Amino acid sequence: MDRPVAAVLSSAIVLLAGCGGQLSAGEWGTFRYFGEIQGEPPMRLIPPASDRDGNVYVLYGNTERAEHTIFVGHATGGWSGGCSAQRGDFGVHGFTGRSDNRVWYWAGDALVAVDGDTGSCHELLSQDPVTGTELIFLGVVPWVDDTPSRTRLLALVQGATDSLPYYVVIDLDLETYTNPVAFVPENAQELVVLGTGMDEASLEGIFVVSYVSDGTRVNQVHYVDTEGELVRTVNLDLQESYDAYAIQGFVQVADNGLAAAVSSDSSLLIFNQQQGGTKVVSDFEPSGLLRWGGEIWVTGIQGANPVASLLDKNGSMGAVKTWSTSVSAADRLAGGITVLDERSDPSRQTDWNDAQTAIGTWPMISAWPLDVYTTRATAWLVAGPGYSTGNEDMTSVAFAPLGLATP
Amino acid sequence: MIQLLSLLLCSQAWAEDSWQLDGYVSPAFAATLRPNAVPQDQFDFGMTDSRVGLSFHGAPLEHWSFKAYLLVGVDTIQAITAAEPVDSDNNGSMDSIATSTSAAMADIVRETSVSFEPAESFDIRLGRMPIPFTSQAQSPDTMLLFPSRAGPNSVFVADDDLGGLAELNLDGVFLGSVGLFNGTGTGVSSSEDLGVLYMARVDINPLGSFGFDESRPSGPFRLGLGAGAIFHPYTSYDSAGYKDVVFTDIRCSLSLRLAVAGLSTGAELLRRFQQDSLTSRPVEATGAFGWAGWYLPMGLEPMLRLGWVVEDQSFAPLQTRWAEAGVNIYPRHADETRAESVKFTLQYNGEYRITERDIAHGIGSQLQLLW
Repeated sequence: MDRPVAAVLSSAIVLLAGCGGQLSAGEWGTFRYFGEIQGEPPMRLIPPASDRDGNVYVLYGNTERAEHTIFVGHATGGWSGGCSAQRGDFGVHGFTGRSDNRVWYWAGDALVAVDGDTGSCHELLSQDPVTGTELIFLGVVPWVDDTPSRTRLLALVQGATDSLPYYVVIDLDLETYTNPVAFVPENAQELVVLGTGMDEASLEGIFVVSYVSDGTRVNQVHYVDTEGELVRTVNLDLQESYDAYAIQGFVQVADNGLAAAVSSDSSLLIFNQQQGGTKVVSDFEPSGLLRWGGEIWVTGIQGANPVASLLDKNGSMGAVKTWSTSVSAADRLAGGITVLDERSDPSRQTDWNDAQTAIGTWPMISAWPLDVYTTRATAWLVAGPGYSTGNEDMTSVAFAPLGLATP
Repeated sequence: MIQLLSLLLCSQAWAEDSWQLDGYVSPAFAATLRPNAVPQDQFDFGMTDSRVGLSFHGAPLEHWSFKAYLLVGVDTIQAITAAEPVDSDNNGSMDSIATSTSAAMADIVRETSVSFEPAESFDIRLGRMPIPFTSQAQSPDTMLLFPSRAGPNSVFVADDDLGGLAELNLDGVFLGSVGLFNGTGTGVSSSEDLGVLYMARVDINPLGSFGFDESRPSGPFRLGLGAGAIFHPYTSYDSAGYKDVVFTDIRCSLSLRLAVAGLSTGAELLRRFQQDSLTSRPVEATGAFGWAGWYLPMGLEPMLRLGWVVEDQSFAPLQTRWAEAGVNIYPRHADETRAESVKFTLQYNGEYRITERDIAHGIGSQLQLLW
């Protein structure tokens, strides 16, 4: 059958059937080779993001280095890269949301907007629009409320001269903040933010904070509604004291309200709207979370294999299962891949005989939220050939969609 | 274009029966409440959708006819009239750009076409025209039940297009059309993309001829079944001029219409599926809408229309619903042949963005004077 005829027939079938055209579990889409970056696998990268128009975003950086670079892959081909808006001593926190053709990310003390059409980026609200005081983004909720009426997110910001921060609603179109609500208690000292998250079922932003009050260190979760009002606090029973931003990536919340996070020392933190604390995991070392289909899986490595365990609404972990999708994805890289070199126009195909995951040791194992690239696929990064420059190795990196199925 | 038409109209060389000029004036008032918007945008009102239609058509030669339909006022754009760099902190670098805008007329050409009719039941039309993909897209602007087309219809068919159409009409019982268009009317491809849009539409009216007018039906019971399809493969090119991404865009529609004793009702189902050679992310959307209007002898026509669309189904479904209700008032209803020459419409228009938890309530009134 002629290829055009086959294309028409296959498209007609999926048009009427209401499904199709998506990747199967463990199947890679087109590998889009966008650049050579410093480091060798596992690299200083977090899982990429996408916007509604199909532009994709790669954030090069990690929590430890106060530097980063954003690369933008356009939906109709080609890449823009090299933009950065670092401020503060901390590194990359992660992507905080998307709209039609924009994403926002939080790095150091800065909230940064990236335009998917042009690849440009710029920092939002580095100064208070009224007083001119430097604003520090202590916490940003990873959720953008994108509606025809307005585009906004929740953040915890502190002026350079303020003793305590404020919960605010950031209008991402007007690039201003509204509804500042002072942090409570007012006598809080040595305040640090451990991490943030979003409960999309109750539409409440989550700030995990630790502070000293009346001489006692208090660990709490603050739930903040979409208007920036504090609606609930939950005390956490933690087994140890954590540093600022100890939570890797973001807190992830299941549809049943159970929240989970992985800390920098690979301990697991779980809570709901009533209580929470550290959870001991003995079967394997947690190194990631998978929120998919409204459920949360704790992911990690057992022996040499990627494994996952489902969290139920009470915080109990189910049976530990080998994550065959991750294994399958890794196996398909091992035999070499053909990538589309989009570093300059015109794009061309080239072969990588040696390819592996660029993030972590197995595909899709990450504490950062995986992008819902499609309802059956996420986005991932693949490392190819590299070379040494004397200071640090350079490695070729490609973006690719990856079919995902839960264990 | 208007000057050209004026010159043609004034030319004595034209036989008076070889052309006809008609049109309509339609002042409209609309008010919209968006409770979730910033205060400045929460309440919007004014004569926002007022428009003038001017149709110039005729048959100067045997088998040949033409039509030029201009629509003024419905589509304005905010054109930038001045731009100035702003250095707000006097550090020598530009911080922002201050712009001034003014409303400007956008494209006013709704249709400019030439038709060749070698037989009574068959014609070929070339030029710019609405793509007759849905039943509602074939309804004349002045004979819609509501002042504008349904929300789902605009999601799947964005605009007019340039192309050619072959149309077959067998006594109004079977209507078929196939066409080739540039593909710029579907709202997806930019001018840098290349690809022909193929369109086909079939309408079957088993009980006899059944026009696409939505309001004021007359005559016996009529039933209309229809289906349309668009196939649009197109290619985008990179900055070096080489083939970059190949897209395949398919849309289809199914329609059912009924009319009897002043009652007009119908429904359309719409579906879109697009995939490309690069992203492994198909674009899927499904929508439907239905309407009903009942023309009463005293010149009143209560009406209702409901719509529903789910966009971005393959990655982040966005569900939107529309609910519209209102009444058309025909002051000249005693004149059976020209009752629609004056029509006054009062309506409520609600848009409910379910996924985004956003809502808009609108009320509107429109006077339509045909001439």
